[in-house]
Amino acid sequence: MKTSTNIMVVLPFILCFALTSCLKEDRLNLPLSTIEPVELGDGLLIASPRSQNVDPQLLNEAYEYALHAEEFWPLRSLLVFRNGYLISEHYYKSTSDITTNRLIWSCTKQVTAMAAGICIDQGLLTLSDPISTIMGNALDEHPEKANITIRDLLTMQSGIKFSNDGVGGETDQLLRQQPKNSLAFILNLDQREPPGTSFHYNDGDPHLVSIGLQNVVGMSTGDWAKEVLFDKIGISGLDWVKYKDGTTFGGFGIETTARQLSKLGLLVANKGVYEGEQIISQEWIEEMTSKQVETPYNNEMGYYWWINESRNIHFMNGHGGQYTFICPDSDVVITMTAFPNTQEDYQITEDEAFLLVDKILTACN
Amino acid sequence: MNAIMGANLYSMVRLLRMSVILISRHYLMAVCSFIAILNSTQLISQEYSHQLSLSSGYSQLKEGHNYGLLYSGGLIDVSYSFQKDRTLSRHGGSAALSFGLYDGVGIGLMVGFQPIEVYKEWRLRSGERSSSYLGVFSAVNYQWQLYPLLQSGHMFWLTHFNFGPRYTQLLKADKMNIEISVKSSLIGLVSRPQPGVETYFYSLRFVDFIENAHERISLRTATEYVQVQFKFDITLPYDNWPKFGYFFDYITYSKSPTFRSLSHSIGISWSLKRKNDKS
Repeated sequence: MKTSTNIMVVLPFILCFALTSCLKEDRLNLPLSTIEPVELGDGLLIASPRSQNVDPQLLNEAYEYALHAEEFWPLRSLLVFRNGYLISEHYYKSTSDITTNRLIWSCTKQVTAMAAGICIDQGLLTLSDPISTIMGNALDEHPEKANITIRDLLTMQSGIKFSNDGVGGETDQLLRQQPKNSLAFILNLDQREPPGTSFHYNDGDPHLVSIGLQNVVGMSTGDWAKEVLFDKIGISGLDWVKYKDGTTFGGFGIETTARQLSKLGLLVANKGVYEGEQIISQEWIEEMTSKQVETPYNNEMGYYWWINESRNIHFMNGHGGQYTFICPDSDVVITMTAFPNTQEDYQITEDEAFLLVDKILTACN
Repeated sequence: MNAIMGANLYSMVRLLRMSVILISRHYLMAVCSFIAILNSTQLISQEYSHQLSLSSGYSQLKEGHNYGLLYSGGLIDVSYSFQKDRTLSRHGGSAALSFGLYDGVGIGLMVGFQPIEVYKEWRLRSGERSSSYLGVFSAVNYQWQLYPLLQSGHMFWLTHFNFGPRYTQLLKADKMNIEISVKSSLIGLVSRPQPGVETYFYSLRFVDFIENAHERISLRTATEYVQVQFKFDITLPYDNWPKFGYFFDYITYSKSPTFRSLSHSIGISWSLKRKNDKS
């Protein structure tokens, strides 16, 4: 009797405790205490906004806007450079993002184009080279693809029916490392249109560029880019995922920090020059960031580099909200990174990113 | 010597892995075999009571890869349990399948599978109106999650094989029977996705659900992993009426990537009787 009475006394409290317990969501964003850059000894030059003729209050308001605006909820980092100096940075989710490599998705394509430019500068490749001359015997069974040129690939006009979309699409299969050989996999796809006639945004063409670079330089694109690009501009610790057949992914696969990503943008902003050395020719930089193909989107494309003609801004763009904007009129470079795997409305779109870019440029003008 | 022992251990691990893969690929055969075994043993004898339960409720998930975001939603659980009562002890087991649909940054999906839980309890106290039991339990639990709009292409999981104490209190109030049970894991073998791996894209083939769920299984103590469950059942004094109950389940895993879940469910349990059961 006593035990059952004790139980009936305790039971309501147990039930109350259980029924009212729930999990709490963590705070998503860190408070915005400062946007002053951190000196990491990573080669980036740091200066105050005012020393670079940037209004610090307006700049701070831009960061506040990104903190509170709903469309920027997945924003991880925001860095602003002026005249080559890092004048502000903030990491909205975690300070570990300063040094932790994160996926930049299709910003990789713009890096592939930079690597291709170095290859062309060195005379190893030309834009008019058909892929049949650099893919060995792989094109013997695909004569319809033999005349695809490097330029066709760099402007996403190969005409190959490669789909980025959906479960079971070609990108999905490559991500899951399903096909045995990535070159054979892409070449076996149907030819949608003749090469050089129509633009289709896809991950297949950049991967073919990577395979082509690999074949002419004699090592994987990632390893070669490390020697001729990353090491030369002070980028260290960058990861570039390879396919299981040893090919560096040309369309995605780079994991790096916002600061390292910015160094690539700064190189482009500085016409290919880093500390007095011409890493990529100015001619290639200008050609790569000039409109080379008409797209069905709000922005045009050079050689994988996106171009907003109305603003005279060219930029790197990766899924989810990874961007580096080069604004030559103001000598400004802006990098933002975000959660990488969001879909649909949960990404930071280009239009939303440009709202923030406009606010930052207002502070700079 | 260490090399030989290492090689033997590696071979054992590979054998276990291959066994899991073989079982997964012949899952239907395994399920049929399990049912056949059940039918052929005294588990389906009149000495055991059998129940089928259906419950639904409110559930929350906090997957460590999801930046501290909380997913909340509904859960449905179907389970089968059996129990044998002896004079001084009782033992039993269960199997369960659950499905959850959540809302957060887009939808979240969860599939839970408990192929087996077994327990053994010894009677502490017995009286006309109440009795209590204390014992141990062990369970095999799998849980897979997908967040297609926040983590497109990624699958997350929590696999936990746990062991711990279990306490049950039985009460008789008028003709109503109340059963309260509390159990908590003490240790567990846990598998979780690797921390900080954003790159990829776990394949979604069936065999990968099995392989991934057994990756990097490690022993965790109560300071790193705990599952606490509380159950409250009422049997009303009417013939052939089902049992009604409330079920609370809380899981916390504190190693990176962390995981927490909490659910409140209410359910109904039906006693299963064989056609020739005269009771």
